[in-house]
Amino acid sequence: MSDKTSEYKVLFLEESGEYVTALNENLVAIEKDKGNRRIIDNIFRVVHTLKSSAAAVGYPELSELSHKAEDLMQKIRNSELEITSDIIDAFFEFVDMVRVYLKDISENKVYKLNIEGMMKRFGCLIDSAGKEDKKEAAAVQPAADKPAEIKVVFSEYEKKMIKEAKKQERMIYCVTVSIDPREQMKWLRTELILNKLTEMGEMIKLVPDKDEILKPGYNGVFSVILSSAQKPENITGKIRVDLVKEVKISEVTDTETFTLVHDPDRGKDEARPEKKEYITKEDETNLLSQAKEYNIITSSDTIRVPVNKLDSLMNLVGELVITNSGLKKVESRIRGLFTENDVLSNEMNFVTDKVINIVSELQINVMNMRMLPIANVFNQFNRVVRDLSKEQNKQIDLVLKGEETELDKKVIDEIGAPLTHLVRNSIDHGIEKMDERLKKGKPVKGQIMMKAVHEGNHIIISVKDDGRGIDIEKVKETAVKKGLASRQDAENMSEEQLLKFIFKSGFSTKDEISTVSGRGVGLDVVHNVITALGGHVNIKTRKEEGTEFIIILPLTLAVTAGILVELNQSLYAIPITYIRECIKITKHEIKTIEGYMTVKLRDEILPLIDLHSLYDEGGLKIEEGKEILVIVVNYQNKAVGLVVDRIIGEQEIVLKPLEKHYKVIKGLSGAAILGDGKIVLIIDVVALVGLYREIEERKNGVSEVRAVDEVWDLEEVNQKGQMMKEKLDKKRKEIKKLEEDEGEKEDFVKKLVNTSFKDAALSLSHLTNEQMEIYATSIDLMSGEEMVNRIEENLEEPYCCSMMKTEGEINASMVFLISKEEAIRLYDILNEKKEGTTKEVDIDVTSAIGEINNIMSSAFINNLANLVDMKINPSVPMNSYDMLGALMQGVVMQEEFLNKKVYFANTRIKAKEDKEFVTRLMIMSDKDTLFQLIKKIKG
Amino acid sequence: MQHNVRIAEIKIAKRPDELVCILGSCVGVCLWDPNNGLGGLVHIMMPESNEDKREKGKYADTGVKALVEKMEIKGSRLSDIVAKIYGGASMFSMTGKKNTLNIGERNIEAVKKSLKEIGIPVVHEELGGTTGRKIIFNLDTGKVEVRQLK
Repeated sequence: MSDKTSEYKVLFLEESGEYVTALNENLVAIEKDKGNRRIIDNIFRVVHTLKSSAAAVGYPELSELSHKAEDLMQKIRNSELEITSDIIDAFFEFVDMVRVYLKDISENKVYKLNIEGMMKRFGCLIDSAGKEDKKEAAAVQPAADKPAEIKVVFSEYEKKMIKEAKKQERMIYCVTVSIDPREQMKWLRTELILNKLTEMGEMIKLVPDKDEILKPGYNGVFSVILSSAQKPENITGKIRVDLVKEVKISEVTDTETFTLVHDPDRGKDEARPEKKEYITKEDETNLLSQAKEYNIITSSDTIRVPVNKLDSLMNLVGELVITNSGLKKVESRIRGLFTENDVLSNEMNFVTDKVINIVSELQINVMNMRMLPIANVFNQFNRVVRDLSKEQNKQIDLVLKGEETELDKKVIDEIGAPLTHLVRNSIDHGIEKMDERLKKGKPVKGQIMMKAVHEGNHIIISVKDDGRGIDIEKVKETAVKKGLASRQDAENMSEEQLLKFIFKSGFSTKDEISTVSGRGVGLDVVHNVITALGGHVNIKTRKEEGTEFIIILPLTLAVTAGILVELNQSLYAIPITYIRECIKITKHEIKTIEGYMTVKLRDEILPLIDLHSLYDEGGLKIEEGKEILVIVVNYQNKAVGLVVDRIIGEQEIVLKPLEKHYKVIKGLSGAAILGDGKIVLIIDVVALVGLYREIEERKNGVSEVRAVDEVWDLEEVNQKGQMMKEKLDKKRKEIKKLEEDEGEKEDFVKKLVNTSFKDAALSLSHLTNEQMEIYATSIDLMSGEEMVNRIEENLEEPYCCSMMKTEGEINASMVFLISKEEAIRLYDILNEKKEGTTKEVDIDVTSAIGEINNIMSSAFINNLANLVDMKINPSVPMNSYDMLGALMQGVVMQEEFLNKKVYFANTRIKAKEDKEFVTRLMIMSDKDTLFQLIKKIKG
Repeated sequence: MQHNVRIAEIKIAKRPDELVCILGSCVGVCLWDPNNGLGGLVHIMMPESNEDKREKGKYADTGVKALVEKMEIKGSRLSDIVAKIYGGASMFSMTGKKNTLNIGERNIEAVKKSLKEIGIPVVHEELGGTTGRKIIFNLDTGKVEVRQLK
């Protein structure tokens, strides 16, 4: 195919794509509003244009079929036929056929379109109007209108020819000839006519070109730009021969340039269109101009640019941005060489500043060029929803919001598939069948809402339905069944965590899905695509109320700001959006827990990731007394510290994926080139945090307890001084004894608590001259939040509470709780009064309870202090009597202990005559305390 | 129906429901719109938010604002809303030592400041003291029943 025709082909394909979209939109619209003339006209117009274009570019079957469709539409326009769903279905099928065919053409799969079936179907529908359609010959006739769609531009050479002709006072004509469709050898007829025309003047241009005319698809319509001294009548007379259907001739008068129909690609060096004499019938002129208004044909002030050109421009601008920051550096160095008010340096400063401004504006502009409204994607869903709801016999309204929101072209290209999955999902599994909805008292018509909105640096796209929602319980069941989580883990998981499972591949097979209220078809695809785009997906669901999938995407993909760091003299960049802060630590602040380095940062244990080992940069070398740089990164509320050698500074970087040039490397998201040509690798923070999370989840919260176990590794402790050893030996015996007593291995703090209780019981017995016992029926380690939840059941009950804080090197609080009834009973027993003597809790009762806490907590503190040889002193206990809920709040607020770990001991106090009292003791300390202990022992 | 509002929670409901919560040194802010019987309760734990903005209900400055927003979304006008505030007790009397934290009082102060800034009048309050309270906020009448031990 010649260059010209392939150029047409590209144009045709692009435009046809728009026709298909327009048809789909209008068909969906007409289905809802069958009598709407405007929509019918729109469809007619588009089909008509498609017919003409197809004929012009040489797809006769497509043209023929479109013509048939046009005929059918004409009948409807003339009110000879009414729009039925049969007709609409046929049209939809026609549109699909065209779409597939166009796609094949664009992929250079050339074949003859099989239009027979479709032709018959349209034929039947037309016949159903009850009137015979005899316009057989007309099927090929559309060729006559084709020139309207051909865009002809004169070359420089042709322009010269026209000028020459003008000088010689010859006329310039545009001659358009249509050869009768019955002519079998149209190319031969064309040749003959062309010969005749050249006898009468000089042929400047022929449309279509010779190659095209010789092709089998040639439809027998051509135009010639002719310079001639002859009168127009003579010319037409000469060529109006047998089997020529029509001849049109018009004069072109402009002396400079001529454009018959504006061509956007080359239009810029040509003048505005001058004449449009091609069109055969007046009413079609109107139709076409209307079509233009309706934005089906690209308006002439738009330039179509291939995306790869834009991409390379984008890349260049990216490089420019970076080079520019290099320039800034050089400039500041040069400035350092001059005195402050040196004219030259000031000028330099002025110029560089200006350049920087221009470059950043340029960057914004190029970025904007890549932005497209999401309407392009959203509107396709009218069709998807229509088809699927029909197929499944559901009634669904699609509501689109924020279609004008602009997204990067790349995102637009990629987002279609995930959105389709989500919409399909909503229709397949979310929205119930009509009768089911009726039963539930919901409106029969379901609703799917697609919404796009800008929010800061992000774009949020959501797909929301009002269906049955996701059954969390069933997700849980399936997750356990599929072995994605253990039963116990699954029970403890939050709704959010559980919902994450539906993105797992394999969760989405149809069989399983029907048991999980459906969700999951292809959702892993959604997750993968969105993650690849640097975004993430959230799910909100409510049983029987519906589900909302929220996609959060970064606004721009190409340029990001990053912090440059050095690792063993190699450069790495960390995207700035993830960076929370940079801190300096010393070697002894690093604590190793279970083989993982951590550091304490404001009451938070921060895991450290040694990038040196991870990226094979020679391992981390920590020198004593030297500060270590840590960059704290944050992703989805999880912070991780990255150890680096040096921070170089902030830098704009253009991310280039590695897999394109090299291969995928875990932990790196790409590379970038700096202004001075150095290559930096970009650290994939999301992957690193994910990596750490995996480890953490595997440990599943038991790390604290085990950390303590480690501390009391007696082998190690034995190496300490003699004093220590003796103490420990004593304790060890006690522990051993306890172990034997209980016949099971408890963690150390639990043992310590039990030992302390025994000590406390001794003191108490001594004080009261009674044999008393104190023991724990259960000791559990839990988070403060869990504990608050655990004792929630009787929040209004009056309780006595005593809280004691430690002072000194360890921060801990001991809280002792006992219910009003139990407190009064205990008070009576301790004071050797008859049970029931005391009726109300008064100051005596509360101080007695405070005293018991004092004894118990002090015993614990003393034991602990002895073991670790640290100064820990009990403080004066604070006592209170109130509703349990109010008390807990007081404790929580005093200690901010929602985020702390609590040893929660259900405790019994046993007095004479085997009287038992139920109490609770909570030992709270931040994780920090445990690490201080470790330090003490190891140091 | 009774809705229990736990620490750091924000809940709204309509007549004839009731909102219930137990308050120690926390402060409960009841907002009521007499026009539509819409009301809300936020169970505030701390005076001001640090960088952690997730749990809005936890803090006086963010909690009150969030509750007002919720009510406005449900159709209340700011000018119609009135407030009643409770709680902020000093739960633990420290013998011989000054309680520097004194969160109850600081909570009260912060809540009042927030309400003043937004422009909601406080029509009733029962604050401070050394004991906890249970409040039952009746959205039909706008009345708040306060129960205290002792």
